[in-house]
Amino acid sequence: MNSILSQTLLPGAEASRVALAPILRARGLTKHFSIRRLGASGPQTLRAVDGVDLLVHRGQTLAIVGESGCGKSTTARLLLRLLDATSGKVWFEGEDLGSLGRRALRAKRRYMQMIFQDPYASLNPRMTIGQTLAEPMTIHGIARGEHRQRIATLLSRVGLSASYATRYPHEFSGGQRQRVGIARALAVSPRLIICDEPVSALDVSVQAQVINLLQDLQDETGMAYVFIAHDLAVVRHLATDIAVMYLGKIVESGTAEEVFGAPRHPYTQALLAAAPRPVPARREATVRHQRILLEGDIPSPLAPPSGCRFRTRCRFAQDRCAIEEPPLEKEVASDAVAGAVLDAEPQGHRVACHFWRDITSSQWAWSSHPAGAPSVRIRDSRLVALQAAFVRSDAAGDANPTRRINDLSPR
Amino acid sequence: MNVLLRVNHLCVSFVVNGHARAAVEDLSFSVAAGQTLCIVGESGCGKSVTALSLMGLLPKQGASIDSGSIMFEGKDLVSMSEAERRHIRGARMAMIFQEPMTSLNPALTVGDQIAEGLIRHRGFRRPAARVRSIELLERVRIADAKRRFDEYPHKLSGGMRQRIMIAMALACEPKLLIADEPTTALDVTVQAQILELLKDLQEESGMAMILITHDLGVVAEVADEVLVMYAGAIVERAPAPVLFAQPQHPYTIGLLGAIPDLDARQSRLASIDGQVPQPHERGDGCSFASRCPFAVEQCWREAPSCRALAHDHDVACWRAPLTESMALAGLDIEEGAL
Repeated sequence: MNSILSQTLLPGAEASRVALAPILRARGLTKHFSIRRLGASGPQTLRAVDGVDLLVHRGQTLAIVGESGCGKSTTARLLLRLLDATSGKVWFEGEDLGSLGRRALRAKRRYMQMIFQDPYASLNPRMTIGQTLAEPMTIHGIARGEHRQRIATLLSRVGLSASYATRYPHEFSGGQRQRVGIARALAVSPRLIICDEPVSALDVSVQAQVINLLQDLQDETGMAYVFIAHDLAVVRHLATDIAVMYLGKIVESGTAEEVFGAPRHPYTQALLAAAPRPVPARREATVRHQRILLEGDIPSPLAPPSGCRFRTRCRFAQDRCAIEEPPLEKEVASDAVAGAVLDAEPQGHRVACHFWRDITSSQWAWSSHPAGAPSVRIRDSRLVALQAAFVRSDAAGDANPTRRINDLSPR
Repeated sequence: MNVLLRVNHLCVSFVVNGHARAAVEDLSFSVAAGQTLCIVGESGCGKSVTALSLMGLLPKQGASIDSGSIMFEGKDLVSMSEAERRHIRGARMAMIFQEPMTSLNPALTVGDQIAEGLIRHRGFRRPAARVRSIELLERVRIADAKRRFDEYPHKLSGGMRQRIMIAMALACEPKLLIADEPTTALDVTVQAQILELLKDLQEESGMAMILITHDLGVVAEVADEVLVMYAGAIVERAPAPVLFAQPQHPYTIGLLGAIPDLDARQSRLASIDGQVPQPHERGDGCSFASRCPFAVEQCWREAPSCRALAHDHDVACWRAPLTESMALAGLDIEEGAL
């Protein structure tokens, strides 16, 4: 039972922050695509990512959140140099990835892996699961003799039977394929995994299995995650740090507690208010309409609004927002904590809004929620106890023979 | 209450590789005018098949309603001819789908697609249909409705297309709107807009709504009553506040525990091991037994039927009502075994 109990402890994000070492840093990361469209006079520039600074610590999880088209997936690809940046730099373990040649980059990639959103599209249908898992080992020079044993260990570690190595992807469900995707990333013992919407194609119950697996793996190996997601509740659950993106720019960043506990940017506030919570709303229409509803859709990144890019949907927007672009500035409170040495790092609670000081969090938070009050999930003792039965069966694995194999694998 | 739709013991099956496989088994529920019923469940639970059965849109080949009735405004839709159903579909009951991208005709302007229902069901002439369609576009809060009338779907964003779908569905003022995952493909801020719009339109018109979703967050926002489906059958039915506060079926309990909490950090999610059994894998017992931490021998032997546990609260579980002591008892046994 000991291991189960230790897993239920919260990651001590704040307490251990001082001792954290950065594993990945990005500065001024920018990607512009040139687009030729029928009828347009010349090529247009799509500003997918525009000057993004990021910092990921060892063993921690940085989540990048935002709606479709905000540039979060492009950012993920830039971090691994799967795409070459228009400008800006990425350092992995202190080394500038942009300065590396092909061979050196490939050697580095062993330590930075990726898990993709669509478990149906990201596995080669003509390769067995075993072949899929052996491929990264071959590429990164792990001796052929070790492959068999490693594949068996990997499969059991992600909760699959070792006998699945000879089967093909079509024989598996979405959740199982995502486990294979995770096993493939783990095959070369990475120190950082970039997860691009790894659970959004999965059903809720399967999603919880995969989230728990990702958490366990991080606890065991001390890997860092960059977690790209649009589901804010999943992000809250996994992330130690959060960057909120809108139209290619970070509008707010900080620890999970800072960003979700006291959101400063009107966009973060609106996102949190819009996320549906499994708490029945009060029926009165009057309460309902107090909720912040963003008008319209995200503008085109081909022609982002001048000044603050969020201003066209922002209810606090003023003339200044159209003229002057707000910098991502540090909140005073976090400043003192971060200290002068780290001043240049994208750390602390940062907000890109001219008027964030005038927009207090209390103004948005509870008056805007459909229930009109802090949405407290119903946690009566009966429900908590009954749900604990599911947590237990997941961790103990008594009911599931494939899970028992887990306990044999080195931990 | 004024019952608009009553489904009695509906069974639907599909022929797969020459075998009849039950997609929906013994489904019974009712919806009253002005009410919102949510059907919630994971992929393969039969929720979309239920919606298609109600609309009479099951594929002609391979799918069949084996037994049961669907009483809508006092008439049985199952025994009705296709011609009669066509008068009801789109006029008295309408449906919106998950993918606003694929359910609009890309070769017709949005205006023509909205006007089609008015011309067909309501005998409108073109000019009048145009005026009414523009009114409908305004009603679903599309800015600059006159211009949008003549545009093609590819020019519109996902949220706008879903508004067009809603305008089409509402054109003939249906008494029942069936929405199958209407916001699943949309971003969260746009989802909030669409849910708000649906609630407002329902308040104005008094129509009944059946909303099909996998998202319990969406359920909490709109539902009066909730059906939880698992492997083709209803496992729990309750008014929304009761379902969220006092869920009784282990599946509902697990599902609620599997959703991360946006407003507080919890340590570990409840996770329901394994996966939904396919129709051919379902045995004699409860179809949830293999994933249920509370399963006892009876659960493997015999399938429970839905029974009333309290007023308005039905559950298909031998072990319900589940109590705190039952959960703790399970813990004791396990620790003893270790």
